[in-house]
Amino acid sequence: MIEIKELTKRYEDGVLALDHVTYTIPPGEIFCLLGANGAGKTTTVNILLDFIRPTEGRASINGQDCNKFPLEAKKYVSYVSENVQLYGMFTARQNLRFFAELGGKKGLENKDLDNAMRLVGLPEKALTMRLKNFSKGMRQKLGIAIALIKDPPAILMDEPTSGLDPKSANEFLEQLRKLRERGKAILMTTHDIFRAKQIADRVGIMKQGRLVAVRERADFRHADLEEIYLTEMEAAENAP
Amino acid sequence: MLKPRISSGFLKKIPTAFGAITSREARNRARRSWKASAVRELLHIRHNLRLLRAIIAREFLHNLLNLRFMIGLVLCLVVTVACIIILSHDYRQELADYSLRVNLQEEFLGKYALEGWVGQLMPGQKPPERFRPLIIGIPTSESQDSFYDDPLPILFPRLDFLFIVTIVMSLLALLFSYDAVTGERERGTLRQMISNSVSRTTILLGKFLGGTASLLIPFLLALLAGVLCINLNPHLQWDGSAWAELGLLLTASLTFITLFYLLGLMVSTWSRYSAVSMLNCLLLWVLLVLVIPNVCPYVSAQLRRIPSIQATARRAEEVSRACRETWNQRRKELVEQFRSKYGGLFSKLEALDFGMIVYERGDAKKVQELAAADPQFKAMVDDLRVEVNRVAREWRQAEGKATGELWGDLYTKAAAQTRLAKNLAGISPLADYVYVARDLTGTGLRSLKYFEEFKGEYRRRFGEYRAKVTAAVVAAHKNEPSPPGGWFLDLRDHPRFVFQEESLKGKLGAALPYWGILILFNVVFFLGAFAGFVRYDVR
Repeated sequence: MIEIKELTKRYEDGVLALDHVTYTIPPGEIFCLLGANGAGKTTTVNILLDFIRPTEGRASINGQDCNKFPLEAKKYVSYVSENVQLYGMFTARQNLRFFAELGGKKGLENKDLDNAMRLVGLPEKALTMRLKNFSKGMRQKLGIAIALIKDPPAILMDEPTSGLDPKSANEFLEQLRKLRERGKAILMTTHDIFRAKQIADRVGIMKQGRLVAVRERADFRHADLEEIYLTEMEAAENAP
Repeated sequence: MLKPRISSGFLKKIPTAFGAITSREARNRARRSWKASAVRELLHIRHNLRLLRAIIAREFLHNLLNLRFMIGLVLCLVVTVACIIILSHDYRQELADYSLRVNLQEEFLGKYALEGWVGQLMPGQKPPERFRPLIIGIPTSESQDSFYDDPLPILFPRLDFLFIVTIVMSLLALLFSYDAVTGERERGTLRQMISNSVSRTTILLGKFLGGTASLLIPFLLALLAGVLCINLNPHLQWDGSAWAELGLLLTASLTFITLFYLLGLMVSTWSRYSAVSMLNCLLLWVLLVLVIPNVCPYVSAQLRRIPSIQATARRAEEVSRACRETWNQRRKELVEQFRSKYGGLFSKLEALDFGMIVYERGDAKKVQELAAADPQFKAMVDDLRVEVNRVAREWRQAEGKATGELWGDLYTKAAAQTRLAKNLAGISPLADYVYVARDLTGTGLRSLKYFEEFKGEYRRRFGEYRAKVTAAVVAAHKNEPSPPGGWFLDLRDHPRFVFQEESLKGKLGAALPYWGILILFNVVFFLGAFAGFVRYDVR
């Protein structure tokens, strides 16, 4: 479970990146954060991973405060970034083994690693290929494989489908569905309203650091999510 | 951000478990709780060690697969082996020169060991240092002479092990570490790594250990190849102490190389971009390796000014001239005194025109005849000899004292200046390493001083032996006049000069303070890297 309570971040230059944001992502839910650039989506992820400290509020993963006990909290989370950047000179297997070890997994054999990679749809020849020869889609899949093999209760994804071709994006979403079925609480930030509609159980719409709306799947399953998004943004702009 | 290995909660439980509780049940409960905490902490340490091992292995492998590793390996192997082959050749040549000089000296001693000349023929040649195939020693007067045989090594100094460590390896260490953190940030892998439950201390330690291990491979392989080359040289036989010195030299070199790796790591943790880190590393390298050691003698010379050797020689010449004038004056007074005392008898001596001061010259035989014939004349000559010797002794003593004070003052000030320069240069790791390496291998200033002391001790023993032989020869020719240059001395059984290296303990004692500074540099740079990395923005 991912919990965010009254989370606020004001940078040293006075910019308010997050303004009292509160939401909870229970196990088995995909929560998509939508918003323009600078809305505070990545700042939220950065606070959850303790890359930066919040000015106010609390963020926790599986009940562990992300900023007071970051090492404890990070035991329960995996992170998939916009561009999964791993070690180009290493093979996919070597990369996976290293990050699995960092994730606390021990005694892994090659077949375990290979199974994880097959599960995310990486072709057989990719297993022993050097990462510098991977396409972006393949790297994103490997990022998912890292998350899979660590097997944490929560997963953070920062614009994971950005720059992926439609086929790779669809394959990626398929993997997300599988993760949801395994009970993972997934926070995904994205600009891609189309993908968010396809995959999200709930969407949060952010504007200038504020969470202006949270919509359930039932609200947008048969509606135009883009229209909802634009309406909410306009309403937030006109709000006093 | 960082979770300490031993948590404060764990520490707080210790007094509770052992001291402050009176109730047995509560005490047992506290003990159980403390034991459970201890097990958790141990598991935590074990987990951290596992992570550390993974990071070390990754860093090591990552560097091994990098092009710079291959460049470093080739560079180290080529430069080291080439240096050692050239220096081994030089060593053989110097050894041959040394043997020739020793044999010539023995030959001269056998042929021309006259009483008056033996001082100049005294043995005491410095053999080439046993580490000469690795490290070029400080030039001596003998090696200066060889300039005329082969001036190129003076014009283009040869490279040695010290050059490889201080220049090649320090640059290579910076090349391996300047982007250890910035590179990972730029590639995005640092973010991925830190998103896991791994402390920054573990990451930094892993980077240091893995990076250093990969860096040392080219160095150790090159050194191994070099030592093999040395051992193939039949002229060089290293004993146990030499191997121990080599081991210590290797350890000191590792201290120096890790220092530069940590410097690069520290700069990397304080920089956002690899290009900036590289520039900062270069700047610091130039300062620490080139500027400080070269500037320190100049600063020392400004702080402790000393007269030049030429000025001192001029002043000594003036002093000698003044003493000679006093001597001439005193001599004239002596002549007047003897004229008035002995009158015609002294005129007879003056008429011989042999120069009244040096009796052994001029018409000495005639004087001896006159003295034998006339007891009064003999008494006057003896009286004059005593007086002249006294005055000459006073003159020489005064001159020796005055010039000795001048030169002594120069040497004292020069030694103080050198000491100050040496201590000032201690702020450069290069200088510290060079002092340690030279002290350990007997190729530095200290070894020259030790050699002079050793030679002094030998000369004392030789002097005693010579005095014994001279006394025997003089006793054998008791009633014969001494020939020019004195009697020939048979010195075939003279004590042989066999130079013995200073003990390892003595060398280590001299090297330890500077070695300590190198270790301190390591600690400071690691703490600097730690301080930078703890607050490093991984985004």
